[in-house]
Amino acid sequence: MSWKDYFLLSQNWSFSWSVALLIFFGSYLIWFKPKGNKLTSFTAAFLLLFIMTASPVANLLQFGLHSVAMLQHVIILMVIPILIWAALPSALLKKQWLKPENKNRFVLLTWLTGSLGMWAAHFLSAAKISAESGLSICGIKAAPGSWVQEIPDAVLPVFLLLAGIIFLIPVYSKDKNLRLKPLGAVFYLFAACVSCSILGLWVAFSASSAGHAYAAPMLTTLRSPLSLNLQSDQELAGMIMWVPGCVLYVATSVHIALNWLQGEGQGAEELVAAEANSDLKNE
Amino acid sequence: MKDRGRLLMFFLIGSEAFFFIALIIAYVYYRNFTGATDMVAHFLNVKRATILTAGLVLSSFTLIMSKRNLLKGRWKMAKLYMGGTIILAAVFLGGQMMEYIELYHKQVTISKNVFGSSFFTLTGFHGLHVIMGLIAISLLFGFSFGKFKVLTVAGIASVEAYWHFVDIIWLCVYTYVYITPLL
Amino acid sequence: MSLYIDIPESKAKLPSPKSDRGRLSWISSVDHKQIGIMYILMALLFFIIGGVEAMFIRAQLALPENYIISPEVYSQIFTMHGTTMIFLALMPVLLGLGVYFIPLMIGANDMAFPRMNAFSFWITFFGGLLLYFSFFAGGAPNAGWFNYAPLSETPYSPDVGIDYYTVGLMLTGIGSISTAANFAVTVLTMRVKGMKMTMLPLFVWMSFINAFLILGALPLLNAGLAMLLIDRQLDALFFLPSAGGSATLWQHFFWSFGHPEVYILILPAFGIISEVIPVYSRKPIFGYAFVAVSSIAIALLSFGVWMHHMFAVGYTNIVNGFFGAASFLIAVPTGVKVINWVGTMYKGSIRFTTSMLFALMFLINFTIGGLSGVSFAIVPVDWQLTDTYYVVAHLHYVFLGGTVFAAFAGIYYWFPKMSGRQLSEKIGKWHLWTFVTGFNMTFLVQHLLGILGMPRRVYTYFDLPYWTILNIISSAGAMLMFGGVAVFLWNIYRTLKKQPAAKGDPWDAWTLEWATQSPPGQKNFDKLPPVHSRRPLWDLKNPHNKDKRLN
Repeated sequence: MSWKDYFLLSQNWSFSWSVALLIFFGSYLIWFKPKGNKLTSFTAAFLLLFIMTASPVANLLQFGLHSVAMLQHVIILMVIPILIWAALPSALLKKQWLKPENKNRFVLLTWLTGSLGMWAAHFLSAAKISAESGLSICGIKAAPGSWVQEIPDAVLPVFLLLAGIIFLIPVYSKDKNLRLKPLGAVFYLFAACVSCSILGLWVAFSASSAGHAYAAPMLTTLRSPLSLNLQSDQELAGMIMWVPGCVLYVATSVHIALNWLQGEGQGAEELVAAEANSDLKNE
Repeated sequence: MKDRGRLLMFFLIGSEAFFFIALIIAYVYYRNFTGATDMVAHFLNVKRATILTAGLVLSSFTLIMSKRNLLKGRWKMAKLYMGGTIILAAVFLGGQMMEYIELYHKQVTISKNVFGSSFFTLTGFHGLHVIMGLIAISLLFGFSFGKFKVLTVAGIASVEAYWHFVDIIWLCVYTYVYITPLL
Repeated sequence: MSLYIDIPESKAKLPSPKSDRGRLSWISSVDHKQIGIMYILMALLFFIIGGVEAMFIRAQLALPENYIISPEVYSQIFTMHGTTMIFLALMPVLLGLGVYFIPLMIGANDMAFPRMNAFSFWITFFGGLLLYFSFFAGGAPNAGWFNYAPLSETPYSPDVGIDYYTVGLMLTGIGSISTAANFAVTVLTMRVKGMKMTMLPLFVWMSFINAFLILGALPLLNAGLAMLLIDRQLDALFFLPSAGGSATLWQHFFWSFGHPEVYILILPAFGIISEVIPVYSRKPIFGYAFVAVSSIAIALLSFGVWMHHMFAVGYTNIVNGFFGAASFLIAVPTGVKVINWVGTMYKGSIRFTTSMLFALMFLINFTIGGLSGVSFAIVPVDWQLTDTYYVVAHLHYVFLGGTVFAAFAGIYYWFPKMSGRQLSEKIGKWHLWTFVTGFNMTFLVQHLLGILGMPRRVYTYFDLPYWTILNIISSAGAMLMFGGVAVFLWNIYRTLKKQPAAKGDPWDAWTLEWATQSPPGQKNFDKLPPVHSRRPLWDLKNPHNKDKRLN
């Protein structure tokens, strides 16, 4: 099957996802009436989400391509939440949604949600692919018909999206009770970077080790429009998690730190004025 | 600033975490990425390790209780909990020693194969950290009886952070080394 | 019984330089200035030793089929040259400048943990001595500075040299880690009132970021070294492929430390340059935020690109491709910095002092080194050039043309502060031009040698076309560089013989270390100017033209 045929085949496009996403997009438009940057960033989020869930790219999953699963995870958990946070109106961000008693604990919790969510999604999807294709993915082998197959396809993306949005609360929220200081946010993201590097490392290296990957039946990859053998697929999956995943967090950190250092001193003039006033009063 | 010591401890813990990540990665590398089967795993005494793990986790809680009591000024309870922590840590070390002796009798040694090497290196370095924590807690415990009769909050807070770290590392080691081969 | 005790040091009178700066105080001191100077002296000592070793290497390679030293000694000498320069010369000089100037620049009287500071220095120093003791204990390490397994394992290197290497580097590593933790705590907690994290002088900022690099990278080396030592001493099998171990695992450990290490050696150098160039250009740094943030980007990215040292191991194109791309990326923040420095000089009224000239030479030579580094990110180029003299040329352009030039710039800039005497500008310029000329003679031609196919670490070579003439040029350049260092030492000796005469602030600089007398008393500051911007002394000197207020 050629790329063109594959993309034009209607059965490779998901109708239900398309409808769900359109409702999602429409309700955002109606609710917030966004303009300018916010609209652009939400549209980008929407399009990415569409590509990752409803388009034939997402459909590649049925060929047992682990790299596609990984791409889906990285984009839904890491990229789209950033865009969504950027698209939310600031009035909403300033509102106090939560009042955690212990901020450190709250931050730890959101961090764990994000990074453990990533690991859990990885293991689940690997097990699922394994159960469907009969191949061992990253050293994980699930028997056909095991319980992982019962999990509906829609659960993982939604779970990942939520985990990603929760993960970013301490970074992007404007509520002081929830927000980390800029350096703290950089550490927070760096720790996540370490976590996703280790996951990427794991996935990439289990490829070269799997001598059996060569011997495994190539059935699933034969029909695939991508000519990837199992080992390349594995490695690609690991690399997608390891390198672009990290670069993305680095870019976010840089953005935060740059805003912090450049925005410094904006309130200072008022401060000077206030001090001068108090000096006058003292005199 | 009174928590400067604690800040330092956090940085050292972060650094140590990288050290242990490297050791664990070596183990993972041999077991998962070389296609070899773990030849140490089925010699291990998982039951005892589980009990020891529970003990180590408990010792973290007793240390928390000790600090809480100290902050409230209940010195006797604080000392009691701290003593409990020391005993639990000593029990853990004793258990690990027994494990080593048993493995030795089964002729599983550090130079037997890569899994022997990684097992003894990883658990050995962890044991070394437990010993260091034990010394630190014992010092605090000793100070609480001694001439000074003072325990600084910064001191106990840093030791506590370190002890939780040792505990978390052990949970990772236990899960990976003892539990995953059974799955 | 109280829950808090006063830390005894804070009340005790600090030891004074006038009453007790005897010779013994150099051993017992916990004063950051003395320790900083000791770090720098240690670096100088090992820089000279490493330089002598380099002279041996160049003498041996000057002519084809030359047999001045034996092959065994040659292996030991090039290994020790690399190890010494990286761990015992460059790191200590950067850490030493940090130990000396971080407290002064943030308006503190000492580091956060003065005793740990002394501990860090001494353990680093003794680690170095232990490494050198191997010469007397039966042979120095001889497996290259990255000590690849299985060559470094007992069956292939039965001598004790490698054991000294592991233990010595572990000790210096522990010293670096504790210094780094000390830096981080000092910067976070000891800043003078009013100085926010966004107002740190850039040298402090870079050293702060660097501290985290050290905290993350050195333990990875230590873990690898510990495994290697266990392999050698307890017959474990970590890195022995013949017994189920993995030799590439050592490479992963070493380079996952080694690549951040490259940035550990360059970030503080960037910091020095970012202090020197604005002062001599009479302009504030152009784009403070970009310079500061690009170092965060470098630090984070540096942990994710180490595999580009391993392109020749034989990973697939997918792996190599991703790491090649990531390696290109890390060149971007470095490029941003170079543009900022050039932008700082643009339309400034530049004073061409020795220090400034070294900074300029840094800019030029480091950029060359950076560009030859980028060429390695192209995988096929890397395959062609790996383990040739092209690599040697590249890394010397980065370490010597980068770190060492910056360190010289820093030493010429801060020498009046540390000693109260100004180094002679005239002799300084002799030092500069001999050293820079010698450096470019030595290493520029090595790019060609590498492209012609001369492998690094060869003991000797045949008289192939162009090899002899290029090697002769290279060795002559090395002689010139050695002469340059001798001029530098003469300059220091001559200056130190004079009476202290420098003004407190000879360069009309802006950061807080110049707000006290030169050299500072044991207590750095009795009073400090108010800090409202990134250039507190500028505000003090120009009350009608203050910088934008930041707090």
